[in-house]
Amino acid sequence: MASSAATPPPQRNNLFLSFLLDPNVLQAISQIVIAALVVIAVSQLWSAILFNLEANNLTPNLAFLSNRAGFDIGERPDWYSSDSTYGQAFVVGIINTLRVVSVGLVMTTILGVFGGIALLSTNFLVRNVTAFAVEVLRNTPILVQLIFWYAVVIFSLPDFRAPLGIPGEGVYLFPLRHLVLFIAALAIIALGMLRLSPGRRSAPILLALAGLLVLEFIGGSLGILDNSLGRIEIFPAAFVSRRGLAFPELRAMEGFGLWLLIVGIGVAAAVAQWIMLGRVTERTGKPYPRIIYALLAVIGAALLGWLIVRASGTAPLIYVPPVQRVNASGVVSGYESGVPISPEYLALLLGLVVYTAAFIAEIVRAGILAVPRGQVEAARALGLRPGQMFSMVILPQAMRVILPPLGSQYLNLAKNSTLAIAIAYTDTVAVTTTIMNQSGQSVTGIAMIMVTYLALSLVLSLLTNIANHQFRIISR
Amino acid sequence: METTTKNAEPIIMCQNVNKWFGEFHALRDVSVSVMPREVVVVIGPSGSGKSTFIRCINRLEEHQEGTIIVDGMELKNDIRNIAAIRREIGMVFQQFNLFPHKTVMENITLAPIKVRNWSRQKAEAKARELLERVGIPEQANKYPGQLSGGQQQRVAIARALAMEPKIMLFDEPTSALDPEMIKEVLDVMKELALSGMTMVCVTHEMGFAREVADRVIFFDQGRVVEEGTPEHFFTDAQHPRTQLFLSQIL
Repeated sequence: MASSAATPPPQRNNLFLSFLLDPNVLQAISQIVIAALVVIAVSQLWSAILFNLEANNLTPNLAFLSNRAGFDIGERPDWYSSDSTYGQAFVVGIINTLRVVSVGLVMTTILGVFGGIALLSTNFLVRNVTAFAVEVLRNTPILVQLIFWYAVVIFSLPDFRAPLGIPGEGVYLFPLRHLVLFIAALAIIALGMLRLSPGRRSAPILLALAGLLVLEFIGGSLGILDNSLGRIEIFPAAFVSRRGLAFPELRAMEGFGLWLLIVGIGVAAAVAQWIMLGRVTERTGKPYPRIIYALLAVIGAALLGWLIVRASGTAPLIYVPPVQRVNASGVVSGYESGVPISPEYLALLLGLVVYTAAFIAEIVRAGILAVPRGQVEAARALGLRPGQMFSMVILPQAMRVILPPLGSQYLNLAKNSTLAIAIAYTDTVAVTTTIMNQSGQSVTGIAMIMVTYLALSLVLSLLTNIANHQFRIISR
Repeated sequence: METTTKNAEPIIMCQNVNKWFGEFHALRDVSVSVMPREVVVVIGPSGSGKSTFIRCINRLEEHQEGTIIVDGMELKNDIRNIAAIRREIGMVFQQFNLFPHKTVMENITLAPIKVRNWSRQKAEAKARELLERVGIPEQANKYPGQLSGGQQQRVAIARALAMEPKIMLFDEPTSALDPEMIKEVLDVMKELALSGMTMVCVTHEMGFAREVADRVIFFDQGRVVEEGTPEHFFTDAQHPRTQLFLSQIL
């Protein structure tokens, strides 16, 4: 330092001591010492483990991965059987983990964001019901919730021989006047939304709807209204039973390629108008309902294509309801057709999604509340509509607060998926536990699990960090 | 703007406006009219309702009794009216309230593009012209956090002006500024007043009131206690409450 150079040091012979007492030197020395201690401790531990494992002929290695696994896995792709190797079994575990985590992350984000907005709702019922649900979900252990979903919810579903169709299968006959009533109700709601100001619209709309119901009730019971019947055939979109969920299969027929091509043209048209009208808006300021045009293009192309293909033969896609494969002794062993989802997967997915969404709802609520009140006032004073205000002013600023804890919740969901073992879902940990028990390679197995989840977590962290960077606010 | 300068017709007309925050009676029978091109300065002790009053004019606060008519449209619970009125009223806040995640240029062009449906080119040309007018053309691509308080407030004024409003509301625009920066903001406001903008300003800057105001309104306990020209106000105030207030701040 300049000031100490001006005055001579009091004791010349202590140069070495004063070198040692320099804070930078002290820090460096302490770090070297601690690093050395850690290296010694770890290497001692490692050699002790190696010594003991070698004594039992269990030296950690990866060679065992090519040995025959010899066990079947509850949920597996077609290429896996008990003749496959340990390595392949491990890959099946990873696939199962990723199946739950990837779908779970998307679903929990959607549910959580809606939950967070509901927590801020001005509607008393919506707000308080959501708050109650969030408190219950946040304050009970996830393991208990998983077992609840698996043992209580899934097992109270009907038997697999009589699955519940959603919506119920069959032909429905209904008085045609209900259609008129339904359209009238929609018209009342639309008119009320357009003509009445927010906050004063619920009561008149509800009164008008109640009036319709009274009319229907009195008119229907007195038989003065028209009773001609309409007919709707309903095919279930899914079947629910204790065996899980089964979706019907949509089987591609001959004309499918042509239909897909026409739909593709529709999508291309939608994208093209999106870009072109976007440029026109940029240049002239005139806004266009691009979303509506895009939907019209895609839906129109799909319908048109369907009619064209249908006219020249069969429909491009046919609906095949799930049919169970039953063996000679009457035991269901799988599905002949349809896309089944196991009860274990369903329970784990629901448990993780709902539990994590409760935390995300709180994070979203906090993030939106963290945007200063003045921002909302400035946006309102400029005349921005509520939707514009939310997407252009509130959300970008709330994201800054939401993203870091949201990333932690994503990591929690990924790691909590290892609780799969409690409800017999064959995820990475469950499969690897079996591998370790059979092969004795527990050190390698644990290392493999750790590396898998570390990699998964690092990828998630990287993604949230990139998103974080997008929403940063520059202030210098 | 030229078409609305019929001097007979007030552009803001408030009649017997009452407002409560829970039990607290914030505005009591406030009746104030503002003519086009008029500059009105609202003063009064804190908690007197002067901010609440100007926030009622563009419906940031909802009045419970009385009528407020702005530019021929009545402010009632009709979102179409509220949206139309907000398009014609610019507002400048004490805390600037610039959008921190948008650049100066984006802050200014956001509402003209999204609310007025201008082309980006037109909005940006207007923004550059306004930045020139408030004296900071070189800051267009910076973020609000990179500017000083005075510069931020000038951007906020430009942002409000970009909508080409008929009326500008100022809610204590200099109260959060360092003394050195107050002048640069007041200069912009003076220039605006001289250009013929209709302005309603809540401020403690008595110099500004004396120099550019056409009329001064004194609020106390939610009431308009006294109003008059600046000369009347600063030399010949009648009400004892006004005299007490002026003796304390002058």
